Amino acid sequence: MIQEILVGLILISAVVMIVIRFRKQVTVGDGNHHCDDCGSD
Amino acid sequence: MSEAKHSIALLGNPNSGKTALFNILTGLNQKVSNYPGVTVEQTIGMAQIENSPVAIIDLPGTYSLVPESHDEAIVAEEFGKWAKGENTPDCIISVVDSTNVMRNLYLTTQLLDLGIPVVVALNMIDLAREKSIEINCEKLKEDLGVFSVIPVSARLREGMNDLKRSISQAIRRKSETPPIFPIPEPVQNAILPLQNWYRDTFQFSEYLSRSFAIRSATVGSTNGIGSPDSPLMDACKMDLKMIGFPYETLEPTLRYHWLDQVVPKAEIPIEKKSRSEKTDEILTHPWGGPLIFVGLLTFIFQAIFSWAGIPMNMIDNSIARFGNWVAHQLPPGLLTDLLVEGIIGGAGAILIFLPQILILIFFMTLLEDFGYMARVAIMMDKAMTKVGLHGRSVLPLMSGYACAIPGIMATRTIDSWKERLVTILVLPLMSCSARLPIYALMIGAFIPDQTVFGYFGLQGLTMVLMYFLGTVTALILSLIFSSWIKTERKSSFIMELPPYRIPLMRSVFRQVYTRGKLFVTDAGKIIMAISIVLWFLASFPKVDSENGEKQTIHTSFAAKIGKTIEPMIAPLGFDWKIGLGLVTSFAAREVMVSTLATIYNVGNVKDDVISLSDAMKRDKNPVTGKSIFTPLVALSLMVFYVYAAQCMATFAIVKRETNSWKWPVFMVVYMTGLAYFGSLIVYQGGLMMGFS
Repeated sequence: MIQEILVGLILISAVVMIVIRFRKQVTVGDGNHHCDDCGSD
Repeated sequence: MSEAKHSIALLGNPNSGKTALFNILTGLNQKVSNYPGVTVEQTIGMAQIENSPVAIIDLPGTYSLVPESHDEAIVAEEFGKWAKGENTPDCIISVVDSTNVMRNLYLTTQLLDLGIPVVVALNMIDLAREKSIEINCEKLKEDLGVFSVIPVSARLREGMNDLKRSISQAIRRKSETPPIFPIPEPVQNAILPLQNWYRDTFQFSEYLSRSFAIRSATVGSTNGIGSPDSPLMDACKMDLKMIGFPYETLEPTLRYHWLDQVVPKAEIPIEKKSRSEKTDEILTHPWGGPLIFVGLLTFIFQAIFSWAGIPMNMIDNSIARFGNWVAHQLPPGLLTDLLVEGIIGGAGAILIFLPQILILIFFMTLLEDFGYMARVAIMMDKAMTKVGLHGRSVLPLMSGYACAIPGIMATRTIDSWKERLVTILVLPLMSCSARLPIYALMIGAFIPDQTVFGYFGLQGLTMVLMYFLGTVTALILSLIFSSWIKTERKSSFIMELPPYRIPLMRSVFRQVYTRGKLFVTDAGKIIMAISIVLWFLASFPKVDSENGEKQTIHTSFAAKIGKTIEPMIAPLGFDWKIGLGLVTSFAAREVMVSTLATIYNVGNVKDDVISLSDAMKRDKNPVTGKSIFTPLVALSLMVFYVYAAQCMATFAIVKRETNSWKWPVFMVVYMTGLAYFGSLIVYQGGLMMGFS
């Protein structure tokens, strides 16, 4: 039973870590973007 | 930063050794290379100068305060803020390349305008000595009006104590009386209204106002602060025209005229036939140069396979032994399965490729520091111009061989947005080091270790082929994209060829260590997290079967996901396991390897950790009985990864740098399409030619 609980905790931590990493990477940062006329800046 | 009472700014021309000095002063490990444009944004580090903490700001390299690119604009804007009294540093270290004093001091003369102490660090003094250039530091200091001129060599760590001592004195001095460089009286009269405008608007000193007046008359604006109205500017330009002074070149003319009087008195150059020039004739020869480059690449890639064999086997055996030890020490159960199959067997599988990655980084750093990569950039520039790419794209694309992220960030040096966009879009096609584990796994397992044409190893040549496939496709696509995204003008490529230098092994090994650590800790974390989730998906639901655990893998969640994808990828020769790897490797390309390792370990009936390469060779299709992995499938998979957009970090950085979802989505769509059709052609073409 202890093993199952530990595995559950490790699994949740892994999922949380993946979500955090993804959110951190796609969050718009202070990028150096510059667009003359494409309308994205 | 908050604990530092003082701050100093580090400025200099590109490739003047600024970042190397920054690293020595702060003890940090910013990337240093023997080519310009390594620093594209400001970095702050702490240094102990004479026992007191000082914040050091490392700014991108620039030739002047009139920016030509985005990274140079950062410096000009920062200077504008300092002029207005915002976060003005206590002192500026102007890093000057001793072998090219005249051009480097141009920026120094602009920095002097602020009226704060400027310490000139005459870097690469060892190379100047080799070229028999002697510099009279005292004379230069007096004539230029700087706080001090200190000869240093960041490479040899020479002169560092003198530099620190001088910085300490300069910080205490606070302000410096600026020197007055000579300006003809008619010019002074012409710019006077502009000078008064700067003085009255910003309460600048007369000297600083005059400098901004000269700059705004020359380029029409001044970065970081406002500019006078058009009528005032037009009147000034008209006056300059009337006295026969071309206003477009006013600032360089005046400053270089001053330097022409100052530098020859301090510098005693003795011209010698340069060995660099002789070497360049061979290494950048129109035909010989590219051949040498291909030869070098083949050698490096063959070395990756030959030299890494022993350490790879050692790591492989150690991981297997450790996994087996853990399996026997812990009581049977889920946690033991997770540790052995998921973490040690799955995530551990990627560690095997560490020696190959380190060898690649070692050679690339060696070539960069030697000055060879700058020559390759020059050679590539000729090819790129022909296919519509432009000069400044060369270095970012070259950085893409290591990792697309710094390469995409380095596109900030490209002035034209459209040129920059085309470069960003094709850059992920350059084979980065994350693809290496996949190439290495497939080549090591399925490409025979034999020699072709007498000298070349087939494994090394296959690897070169993958790198060339990515590069050539990038060039062709840039031609297509350039015609769609019409570029308004071609930017010029001005690159000073750095002198050849014997690489400092300490710096090379530090770079290898840093990149290796990054691979293990940074990529390792996400690889481990995904391996854990994947182990769960591959192990559940548990099905009671007469055949035991082996049945579990085929009925698992992972198999269900993989088998949903399988019909789409079957024409490429891929089965459900590879399909699952294609999904998970979107986090990072290396995850493909750990995914396969986790699946094979979970599917393994015995308790021991298996060798991924052996498991792949043994794997048979349960229906047809044919091998899942063949040399043709391996080739198809490698071609897929040459083109595939599987990298979350690249997607994120493209989103960040273009400030739009449109371009990263476009990049993923076109790259995935290219990967699919590339693999389809290879696999189906191979089948038609009789390969299996």
